[in-house]
Formats: sequence, C-alpha cells, structure tokens
Amino acid sequence: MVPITAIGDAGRAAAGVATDVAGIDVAGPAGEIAGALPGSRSAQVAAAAAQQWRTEFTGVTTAMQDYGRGLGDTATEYRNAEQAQLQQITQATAALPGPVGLLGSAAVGASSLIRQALG
Amino acid sequence: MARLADVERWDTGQLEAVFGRLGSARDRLVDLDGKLAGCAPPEGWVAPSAEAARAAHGGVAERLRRVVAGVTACRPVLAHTVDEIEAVKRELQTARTNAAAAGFEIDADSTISDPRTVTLLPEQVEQYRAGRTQQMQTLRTQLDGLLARADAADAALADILTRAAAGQIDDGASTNLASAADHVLGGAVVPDPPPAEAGPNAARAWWAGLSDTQREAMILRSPWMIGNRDGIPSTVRDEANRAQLPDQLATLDSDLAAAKARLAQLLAAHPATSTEPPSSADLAEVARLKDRIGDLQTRHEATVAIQSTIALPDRQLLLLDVGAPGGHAPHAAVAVGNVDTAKHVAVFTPGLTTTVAGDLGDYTKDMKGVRDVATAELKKVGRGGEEVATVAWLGYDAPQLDSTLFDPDRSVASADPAKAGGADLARFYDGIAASRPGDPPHVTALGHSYGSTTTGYALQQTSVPVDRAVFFGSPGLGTDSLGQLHVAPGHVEVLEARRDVVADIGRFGEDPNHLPGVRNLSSEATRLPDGTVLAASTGHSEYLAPGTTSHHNLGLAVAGLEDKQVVGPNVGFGDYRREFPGWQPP
Repeated sequence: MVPITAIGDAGRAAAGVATDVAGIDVAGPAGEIAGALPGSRSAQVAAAAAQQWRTEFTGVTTAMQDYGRGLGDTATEYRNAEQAQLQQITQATAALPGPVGLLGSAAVGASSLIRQALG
Repeated sequence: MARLADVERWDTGQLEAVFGRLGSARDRLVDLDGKLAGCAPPEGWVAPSAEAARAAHGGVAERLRRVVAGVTACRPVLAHTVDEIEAVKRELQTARTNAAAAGFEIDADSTISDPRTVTLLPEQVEQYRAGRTQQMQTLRTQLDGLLARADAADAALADILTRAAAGQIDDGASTNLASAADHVLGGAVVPDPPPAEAGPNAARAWWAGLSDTQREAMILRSPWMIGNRDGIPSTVRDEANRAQLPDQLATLDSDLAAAKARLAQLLAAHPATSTEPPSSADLAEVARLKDRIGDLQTRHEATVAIQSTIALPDRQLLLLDVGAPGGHAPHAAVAVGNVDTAKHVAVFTPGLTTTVAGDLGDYTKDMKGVRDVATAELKKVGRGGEEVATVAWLGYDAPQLDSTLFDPDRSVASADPAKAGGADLARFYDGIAASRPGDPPHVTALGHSYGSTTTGYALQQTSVPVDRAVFFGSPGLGTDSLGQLHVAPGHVEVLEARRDVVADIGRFGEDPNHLPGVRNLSSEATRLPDGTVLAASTGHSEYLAPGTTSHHNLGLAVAGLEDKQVVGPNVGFGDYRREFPGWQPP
C-alpha cells in the first residue's frame, strides 16, 4: 500500500522539476550560432534548431506541470474517498446498539488518527 | 561553399561561448536526475491512474534524455568546428600575406587577380605569364582546399544541430539523463590524467592529446579529476567545477540533515527531566555529532558562498575543494574575466583570518575593482583591446585567530602554513603558463599580509617566472633576497600604508620595503597629472579600497603600466626604529 502523501509529494516534486527545466536555456546558445557563422549552413539551420528546442522545452515543462497536477489531483481524490468511507463507517457504527456502537466509534476514530499520522 | 569573406568573419570566440553555455545547460539537465527519480509515481501504487502516471512520467523523462543526448552530441562537433575554423583562418591569413607579397589580390569571393604590371622584354613575356599562372593555380588550389575544409566543418555542425534539435540523437537504453549523455559519447575511453606530481605541463599535454569526444566524456564523467588540475584550460576547469557544485551541496544538505536528526534522536532519548544519566557512549556520540555538524556547516557555508560568487557574470571557478570532515579548510579560486584569453592575469592571495565562506565574495569583488582600474588605464593608453583577468586565490589554509593560534603547523606566527600554501600557489601560477603555450599572458602575483608571505614562498618554487609581484602589508617574503623570487628582474613591488604595523614587523624575513632591488609604490594621497585625486590608505586593510593610490597602483601593476605608477618611500614609524641604537633585524 502507498501512503497518499507520497503521491502528493511526487506531484509537488514534479512541479519543481518543471520549474527547473523552464530555467534551462538550450535554445538561446543554439540560436547564437547563426551570428557566429554568417553565411554558413550552420547559420541557416541554427534558428530552426533553436526554435525546435524552445518548443521542446516548453512542451516538456507543460507535460511535467500537467503530470504533477495530475498526481496532486489523484492524491486529493484518494483523500476525499477515504474520508467519505470513514464517515460511512462511523455512521454505520454509531447506529449499532449501546456499548458495541461506542467501541466501534472509538476504533474508527483511532484508525483515522493512525492513518493521518502515517499519511 | 562558404564565401571567403564570410569564413574570415566567423567568430570562434562566440562559438566557444555557445559551447560553454550548452555545456552548462546539459550539466544542469543531468543534475535533474535525482529530482526526476524523486517525482516518479511511488512504487507499490497499483491502480489504473498509477499506470497512466507512470506512462506520463516515462514520456517526459524520455524527452529529456533525448535533449541531453542531443546537446551532448553537439558539443564535440562544436569544439571540432572551432579548431578547424581557427586553423583555416590562420592558413588563410598566411595565404593572403603570401599572395600580397607576390602581387596578387584575393577578393571576398576568393577570386584571385593579378594587377601587377611589369615591363618585360618580348622574349620574357611567355615565361613570366606561365610562372604567374602557375602561382595563381597553386594559390587557387590552396584557397579551395581551405574553403572546403571550412565547409566540411560547417556541414558537420549543421547536420548535428539539425538532428539534435529534432530529437534524433539516440540515447540508447539509458534509464537516466547521465547515462543518456554517456551513451552519445559511445563509451569513449579516456586515458587517466598524469599524477598531480607530474606538474601542470604534463596535465596540459594530456588534455591536448584527448579527442573532443574524450574531453567531453571527461567533463561529464569525472569533472573532479580536471576541475582543480593546474595546466588544464580555465574554461574547462570552470565548467568541470560548476558541474560538481549542485551534487556537493545536495550531499552536504543530506549529511547535515542526517547528523542533526541523529543528534535530535539522542537528545530526545535523554530529556533534561530524565533521572537516568546518558551512557558514556551516547555522550561521546553527541560530542562527535556536534563537531561533525559544525564541520559540515562550515563546508556548507563555503559552498553557498562559492555558488553566489560565481553566479555573477564573467566569473570562472578555477578551484573547488570544500574538503572533507576533519580535513583542510574549504578552498576556492575565482577569476573575474577569462584566464584563457586575457592578455594580463593577476592572482591575489589574501592572508590572516581569510575563509571561503566569509571572504570569497568580497575578495572577488576587490579583484573586479583592480581589473576595472587595469582595463581603464589600458584604454587610456590606446590598448583597450587587451583583456584583463584577476583571480582571488583562497587555495590554502590561511591562519585563523582561534584555537589554531597555538598550533605550530597552523599559527600565524609560523611560516608553515605559508610554505604549504606556497607550494600549491606555485603550481597554480605554473598552471596558467602551462595552459597557454605559445600565448603566455603577462602574470602578476599579488599578496597581502600573510598572503604575501605565502606568495613569497610560492615565487621561490615556480618553474616559470611571473612578470611582476606586488606585496602589500607584508610581514616578510620568506627570503631576504629578491634573487630567490622567480619574478622578472626589477619587477618586485611593495606597498606599505601609514600605520600598518604588520608591514614593518619583518616576521618572515627582512621588512620587504628595505630589500635591495625592491620598487616602493606609494599609498599616500596623490593628485595624478590628469587632476584625479587619490586618497591615502592607512592601516593594514585599505590597500584595495577603490579611489586610493594603492588601489590605483595595483591596477597599473596588473596592466604592466609601471611608468604610470605612483612611487613613494614607504617609510613609517616601524622603519625609523631601525635608526635606534641597538636595533637588530628580527
């Protein structure tokens, strides 16, 4: 079993990677080749290469952001589902008669606390 | 085919800058390996959404591996292109010179014409024409060959750029960014560098003998083997050292966190309210952990200082050695400017209480100030094209005012730290000369306070003499004879400010301003011939203050403009002591 927080953490880490990738510039220096070699074949392809790399970095950054957001959404979804299940169990247990109901509620409460502590 | 006029305009300096920037970008990408693994979907997560997340993560990782592979593939080709273009331009220049001497003209499209008119006897005409035609054909063949060579280099670069940017460079079965880069280098085998004792010339020869791919592999796989190697080009050292910084910082962060966590665990096990005393083993571990945390923090602070210092433009990290626990203090050297291309290079060594964490940033800023003066003064004399680079060298364990004061190996009262540092500093000077065979820069050694003693010992050990040395606030050079210093004759200079008692104590040899042959520079207030007023420096720590005569003199020393320096007697109270009856040299 995987703690839900691990999924959320991975999502946040992905957002960090996206920021890092966005800060790395390959297109800029590639484009400068055009200025360094006027009249050359390299100059002719440098601008296109720079544009391709720029597009690729934008694409990778966006894909990484989407991936991170997806993990975050999944973690939230799991957490909500878990809360809903706990609530259902709590209500069902409370409906049980007398001491059995009290014991059940206590057990559900303790389980919830343990889960929160474990993430 | 490229036009001759274009080839002659091709800018290899700009290409080298592109090479460096692509290398930094690639290194930063490779540094993402850990973070990329850290954001993968957690193992053991089983669900349809988990599979989708794994596919998404894998897709992005593969795209990044392709980028890394592409950039890595471009670099050796770029390096080769630079070498080829430089060789072609050199030979074109020679061809042009020879052609002009023979009376031929070559235009922008490499068309050769023969405008020379000669008066000949009729019977000489045919032979003359045949000779000229033959010469023109030889020149034509030479030019075509050179242009074809430039074309081939250009075509190779265009091809790799196109394929790299299109993501067509295969990253093999790599599972991370580092192995994607390594795959591109095709398992290049790199011969081990010579041992450090072999000296800077051996390191330079080893580096010069590597192919572009082998060099790339070395920077990528083993940057720690070349970052601090004297004799290797400074741009390479800078790249190799910068590539190591993020990993070093991450390791220090994690070691610090682990040590602090263990300390917290031990302390929590023995709260103040506990009646049971901690075991002696626990007490010993707490003491060890506290020492370790202090040590790691020192190295962490030094690494952060290095990182922020080299974040400024135009810096080169030429020495990175934050040491290991229990070892020497953190060392670093940062250049302002490019030591590979500068016409004038200065190396400054500071003294007592210097630390990387506390002083690297300030001393690098000071060196920028000296460089600015040198550059401005060169411009005034019509030599504005001469580049200047100044290095703050914090590469030895400078004495500190702490418990080490009583350690004979480390105390400021002892010459031992200066001798030990001097050996490394000498290798650093020799490394600058070795890394630029055939193009030696004008090198100036600058030493302040105890750092001047370290400089003095270094200059007794260098293989290649430096062009000039300036000692300021010096307690002695470790010798009483300038002949022992490997400095161009007549170029040992001394600055002594008023009320600088350190400069008169002569603790490590005769007071430098009394050494025969020394050139005394002024640190008094001055009005220059152009009306500029410069302030005096007083005490031990104002030599590098902008706007002072001493600062101005240091900049002129670095630029080699001794005629413009302000000379002075450097005589203070400490010097008058000599006239007291019974005075003896220390």
